[in-house]
Amino acid sequence: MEIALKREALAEAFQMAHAIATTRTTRPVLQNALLSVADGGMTVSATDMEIGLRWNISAEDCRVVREGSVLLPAGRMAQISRSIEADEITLRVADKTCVVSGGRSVFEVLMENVEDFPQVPEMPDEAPLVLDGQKFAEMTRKTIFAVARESTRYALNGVHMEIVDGVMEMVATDGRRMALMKEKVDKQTSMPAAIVPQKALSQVEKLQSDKDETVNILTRERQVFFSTSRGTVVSRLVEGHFPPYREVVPKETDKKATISRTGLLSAMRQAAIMTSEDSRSVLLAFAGAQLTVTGRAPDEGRGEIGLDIEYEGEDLEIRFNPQFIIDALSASEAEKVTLDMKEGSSPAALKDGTGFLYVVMPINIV
Amino acid sequence: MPRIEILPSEVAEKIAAGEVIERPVSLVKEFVENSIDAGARSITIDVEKGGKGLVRVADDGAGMSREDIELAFSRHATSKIRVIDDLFNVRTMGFRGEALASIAAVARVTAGTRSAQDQSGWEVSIEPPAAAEIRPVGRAPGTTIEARDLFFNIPARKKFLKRDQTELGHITRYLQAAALGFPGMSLSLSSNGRKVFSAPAVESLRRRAATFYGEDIAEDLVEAQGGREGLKVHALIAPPFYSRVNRYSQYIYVNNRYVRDRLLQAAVSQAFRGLIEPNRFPIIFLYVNISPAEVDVNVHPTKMEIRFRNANSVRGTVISVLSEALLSADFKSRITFEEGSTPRAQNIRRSIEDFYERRVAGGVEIGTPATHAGRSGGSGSLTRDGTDTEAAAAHVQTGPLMQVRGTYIVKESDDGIEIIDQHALHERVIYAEVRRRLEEGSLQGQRLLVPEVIEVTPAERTALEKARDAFGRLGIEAEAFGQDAFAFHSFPAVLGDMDRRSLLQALISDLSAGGHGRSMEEALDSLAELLACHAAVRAGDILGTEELQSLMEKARSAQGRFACPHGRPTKLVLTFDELERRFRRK
Ligand SMILES: Nc1ncnc2c1ncn2[C@@H]1O[C@H](COP(=O)(O)OP(=O)(O)O)[C@@H](O)[C@H]1O
Ligand SMILES: [Mg+2]
Repeated sequence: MEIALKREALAEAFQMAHAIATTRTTRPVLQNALLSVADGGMTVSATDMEIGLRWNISAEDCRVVREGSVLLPAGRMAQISRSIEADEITLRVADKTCVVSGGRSVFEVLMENVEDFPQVPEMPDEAPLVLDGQKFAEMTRKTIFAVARESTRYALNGVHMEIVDGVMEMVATDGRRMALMKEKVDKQTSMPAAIVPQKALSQVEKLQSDKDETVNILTRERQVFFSTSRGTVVSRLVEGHFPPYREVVPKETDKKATISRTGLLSAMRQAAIMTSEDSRSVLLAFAGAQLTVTGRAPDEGRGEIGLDIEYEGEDLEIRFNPQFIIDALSASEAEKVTLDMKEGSSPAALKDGTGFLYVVMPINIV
Repeated sequence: MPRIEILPSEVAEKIAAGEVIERPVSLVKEFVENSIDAGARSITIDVEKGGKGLVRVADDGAGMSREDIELAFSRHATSKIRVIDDLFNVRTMGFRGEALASIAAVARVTAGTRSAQDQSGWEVSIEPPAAAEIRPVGRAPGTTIEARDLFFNIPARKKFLKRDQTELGHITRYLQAAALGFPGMSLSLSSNGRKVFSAPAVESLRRRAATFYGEDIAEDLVEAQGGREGLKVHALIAPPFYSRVNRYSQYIYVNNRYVRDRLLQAAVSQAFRGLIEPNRFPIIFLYVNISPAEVDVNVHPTKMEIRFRNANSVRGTVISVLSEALLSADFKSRITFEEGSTPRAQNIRRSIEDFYERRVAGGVEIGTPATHAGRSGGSGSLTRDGTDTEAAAAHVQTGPLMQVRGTYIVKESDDGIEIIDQHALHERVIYAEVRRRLEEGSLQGQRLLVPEVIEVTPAERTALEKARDAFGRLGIEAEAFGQDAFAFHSFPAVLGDMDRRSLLQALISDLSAGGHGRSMEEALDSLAELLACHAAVRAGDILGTEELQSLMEKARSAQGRFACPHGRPTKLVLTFDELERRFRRK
């Protein structure tokens, strides 16, 4: 095997591969990336057995001398390709090593046995769901932060995706808050419910060479594929039942606040400074057109931030983990957000005028 | 010294009756107490055949006049009390006037004595039923009493005596306790002509503790002192990780009298709550000095049991003095490569412990850091997700803090290199924080979108209903959900995203296993422990610079930071001294 590539392209490929490969070390072979040179281009694949990546380097970015494949350590190769000072890098298999050279640098990297590496499946040749790349990125951004990280209810460890009646829904929850994003899609399209691991979704955006590029999605048995021109991410779906999230959306709210997003974000961040690390909570007091956000750290002091808002309903005090509000506000780009509430002990719903609905549970007021 | 007189019958009747001579150690105890009462500076004890053949106690105390020695072996003969009121103001070890008489009835006794004022001494031999015969003898001031052939005349009781080694064990143990009560007195024991131990007079209790427990423990002992007029508490406390499987290393003294008192034992346990592993006992030397009128020693003939007039006040004072010292202490286990202290001290300690504990290995021996790691269950080879190579590779260098194997934090300190068990330390930090918050009121509860519904057994249900308030204070709102389930509507906010279900299940089963007799405080305490354990970083969790720093920062002020809530140490210190010795720089 022999191939010459643009350094940038190679470095990017290994960086992607490394992000996938490093998570598991129980099978050392998975720390490698498989390079296959064929048909005038190169594919780099890596997997941790839950998520797989196939990254394409097109003919534009490389020049094939001899086809073949080679298994190389992803981390080390990411370092090498990033640090070689040359625009072009050559990979050439010689005997037991792969010679990586560029400029005046030459590395000989010992190769692993190609046969030991598991096959990363290609996107099946079926009609995929085609989604607007920007829209998909927004949906991901507005839900992924609410994914549970430590739950043994595995269903919560991913983002639930489904298309019903021409509306695509993505939703994530950790039991304390729920982020739901809806987006109209073509009436004809459909997609069975699937729970996608957080890690897979976070890789998808990197597959887009620019924001406008569409994303192809295909679910199949227990797998989901995402692909663009740059490559494919395949992931095992999370098994289990996602909780009946539509029932969690509060219905009988009788208080509504309309607040500047950046104003609220700043108030929450300020108040959070004055909370103690072990139990962060801030008090939101709604009264007339005034919102007062208070943070208190038992031994350190307090902070109080005032905000002009539009408010309908009786005065209300409610306590939240400030991070929960900050997460949602940072994912949004809207100018204003609304909060629908009922009592200090019942859920609040935050909306930003898009298909975004965020339900957040308060902290008990004692 | 007052003269010996026979107690009038109305006084004698008030004295707790009962047999005090059970086994050889009873002889030793009665003789030695008499020597202490006689103001001895030095006491020498010789025994043969575990004391069954011979017990001889020689002292350099006040001695007895001819008149005294004539009376000493009679019933109710004592120089220490006269009237009933004296019983409520006992300042001596003895006061019953019965010991010598009882002993003379069951063994062949010989006594030699000379009071300081007399030019020569007297000797008396008593062999029941023959009457005593007194003859002059030349000797130094002081008293020597020996008892041979215990129970020679009562075969039925003789049969119950144990092997020599066993009886010698009891004697050694008692004398050690006596020595620890009087550091200024020299005390030595020989058995069959061979020295068992000798504890020379020393200037402090700490030095005395060193004799029996070795220099390392002695040096690590933390001093507690406090109380009020008429009730002074003084204690030397070993770091909890030197704990033992039984109470034999708990030395409790009331007015220098070694006692076995439930109330004080319970006070010690209470003070150690959350600082020591369950079912283990600290090494502690506790001295309570109380005005004699406040304590009744006339409860039991062996005088090992006592009764306080105001038990609650004594209990409260002891707990608060101990807790204050414990919680502000910064114990550290030192790492030494050889087993600590002098061989002599070790031998004494070993023989006593072997005898009483039969499993010294159960205790945390210093000098074996591997043991600590092994017990923590987080030796680094098994991490949460099984990624051990990665953890091992990731030595996070953070200036003066370094994480090793994703499990230990290593840092330099003034006297050496500190190795910290991150899980144990974090557990302590959270526990201290939770406890502190609980003292102020309650924890914040994060409400849940959908209640966590958990099935419970009838026993768990009852336990849960009882503990509902305790749960509430932890921020956990529980509500019965049908017949055999509970719905949990909120969860401690402190715990963030951690697995609610398994924690709740653990809490519930722990709660019901604890039985129904548990108080709210106990329930809260074990809940706090569980919370801390689950919420703390695990062995194998790679921590970033900031996390490391913030952990150390928080640990700095956490109460009881030397041990995790189960009493395992949080840190070991490899001293520069030890390093220099090891590298043969010294
Ligand atoms: N070693 C001793 N030195 C001086 N006096 C002693 C010694 N042993 C016993 N006596 C005297 O003998 C008395 C009787 O001793 P004992 O039967 O043990 O009764 P108690 O100690 O309760 O008074 C003591 O009160 C004391 O006066
Ligand atoms: Mg006596």
